[in-house]
Amino acid sequence: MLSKVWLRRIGPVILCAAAIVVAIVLPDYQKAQVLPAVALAIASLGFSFQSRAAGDISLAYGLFFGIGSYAAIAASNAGWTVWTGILIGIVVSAVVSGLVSMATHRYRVRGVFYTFATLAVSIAVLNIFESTGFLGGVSGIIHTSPGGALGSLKIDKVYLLSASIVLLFLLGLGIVRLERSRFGILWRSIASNEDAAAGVGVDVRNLKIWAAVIGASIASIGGAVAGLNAGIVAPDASISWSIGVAILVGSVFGGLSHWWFAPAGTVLLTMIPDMVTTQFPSLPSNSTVIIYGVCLLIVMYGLADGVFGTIQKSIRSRRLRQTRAKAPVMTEGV
Amino acid sequence: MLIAILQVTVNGLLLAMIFAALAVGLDLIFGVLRIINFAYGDFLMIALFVVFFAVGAFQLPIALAGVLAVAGMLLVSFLFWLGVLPLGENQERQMLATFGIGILLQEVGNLVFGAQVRTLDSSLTSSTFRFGDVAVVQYTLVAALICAALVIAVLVVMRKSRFGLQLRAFAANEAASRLYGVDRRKIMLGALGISAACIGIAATSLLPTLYVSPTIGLNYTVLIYMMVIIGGTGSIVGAIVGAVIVELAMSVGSLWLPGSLPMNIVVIILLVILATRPQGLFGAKHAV
Repeated sequence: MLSKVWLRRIGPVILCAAAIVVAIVLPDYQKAQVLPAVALAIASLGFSFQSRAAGDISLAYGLFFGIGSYAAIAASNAGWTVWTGILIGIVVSAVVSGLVSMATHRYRVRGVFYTFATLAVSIAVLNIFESTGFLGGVSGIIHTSPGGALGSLKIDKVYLLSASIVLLFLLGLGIVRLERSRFGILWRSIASNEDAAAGVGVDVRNLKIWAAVIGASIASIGGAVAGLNAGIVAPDASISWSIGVAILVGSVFGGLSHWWFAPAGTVLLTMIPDMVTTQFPSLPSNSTVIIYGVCLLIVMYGLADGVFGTIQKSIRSRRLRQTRAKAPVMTEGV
Repeated sequence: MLIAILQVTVNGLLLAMIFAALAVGLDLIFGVLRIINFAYGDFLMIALFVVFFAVGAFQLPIALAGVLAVAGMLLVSFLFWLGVLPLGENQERQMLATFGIGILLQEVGNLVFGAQVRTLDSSLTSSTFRFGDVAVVQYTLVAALICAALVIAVLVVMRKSRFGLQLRAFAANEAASRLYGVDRRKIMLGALGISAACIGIAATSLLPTLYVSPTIGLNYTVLIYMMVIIGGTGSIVGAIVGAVIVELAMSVGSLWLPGSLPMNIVVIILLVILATRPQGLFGAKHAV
């Protein structure tokens, strides 16, 4: 019989393998549907990490996602490996995120104003892409390698999907290690009360910058997966701040209190509308977005901690009740 | 070149007067009631469609269309109030719930009005005034003056009336104001009502020169938030100044910068303001 500790250790490996098996047996068109969801899930892993570690809600994740997409496709078109492209995306996103975080910390831009500052930066970059010919301008760039025009179609979806699932799990485990380390404790102190943390000598500035850098790097990996899957990147579709909103919404849908809640929530929220419309083909074409909005409102009004966060909370409170019920009753004189 | 600069400056100022009404409406919600409303632009979209169908399909006079738009916005604002009340003061939840409301409104707009981009084919914008070499569309001038009058009226109400005093007290310290008998519900409904009137009138002013589609909401939300943050949250004067700065920057910038790049001037101004004066140009802690 496996002990609980071993189950915890090998559980993610089993889950990852199961996810890959399920992904492989899916029909091709469903693989194409699942891939963007997994890409967004990777990005939401980064987003939720930053919000847990630094307490910051950033709307620039669409930008980092787009940087990842552009870097992967541009590098591949230039004849470099996709992995080099992913690495370039990580470096560029990390630098941009680090600079934004440095500036916002320097000028004490916090809370909702931090969110607006990150949104403003995304809009500025989007406008530069759209209004100048930079990296293909409004039309973006098509993945031409390997194998000529639209060669992206030759990218093996099974390989891409399996690799992205493995990446998602590895990054998740990395985040768990990080959050359980000494730095994790310091990050938690910042997220709960930044001023108090600074008061007891925590290096708030650098830890917040690192949280932003790590989150953005992870999001750019998700963007690379999305770009390689789509085979085309364009500013409106790839670095739009509406992607940042989608990452935020998916993360909150799942919950932000644990590493896998946000990615699972993002996958769920991306897949639910499609599943409903597949089951009920008579629904109007835009019903997917309406279902998406309704899911969001249900979570906001009924499940404030996200779907998985609420489940976790109810399990914990049930266990607490059971423990209290089993505990011996202390009476006077005992 | 000088004439072109003068022309875009005049156009920018007229648009700023109209957008000032929208910024004041948002400021009452965001700066005074401290509710984050990311569906604000979608409210504007609904109001624009109301005016569009009232004038375009039902051939109603524009003034009546404006009344209908204000009535529609009052209803939408009341529903919004019912929606945000259970969320409390958690800004993260407000932000997400209003994103959700925005998405729903956008898709309801798609279902009811159709996804295509529409412009009002009307004679309203055909007559112009000429001041030397500068031409001004007659309708826009009148609409801008009406919006300016509305904004001044809101300012007077805020500074001189009993309701304004209560609203300012509420903005300064909600708990203390309630101890002195300020009714939270009345204050919130009153502020949302004024905001609804601002959206309805601004939509009537904007439509003849603007296109409308169900997806325009979020862009306007971002633009109007920038005006409010630049001017200073919780300050009506700040919202007006913010609208003027943003519209002038975009109008004059469009002379030299292609596409949507003039928006980047606004983004730079916003970032500079956030860096140097996070409360905005006119925003003090309890300014109204």
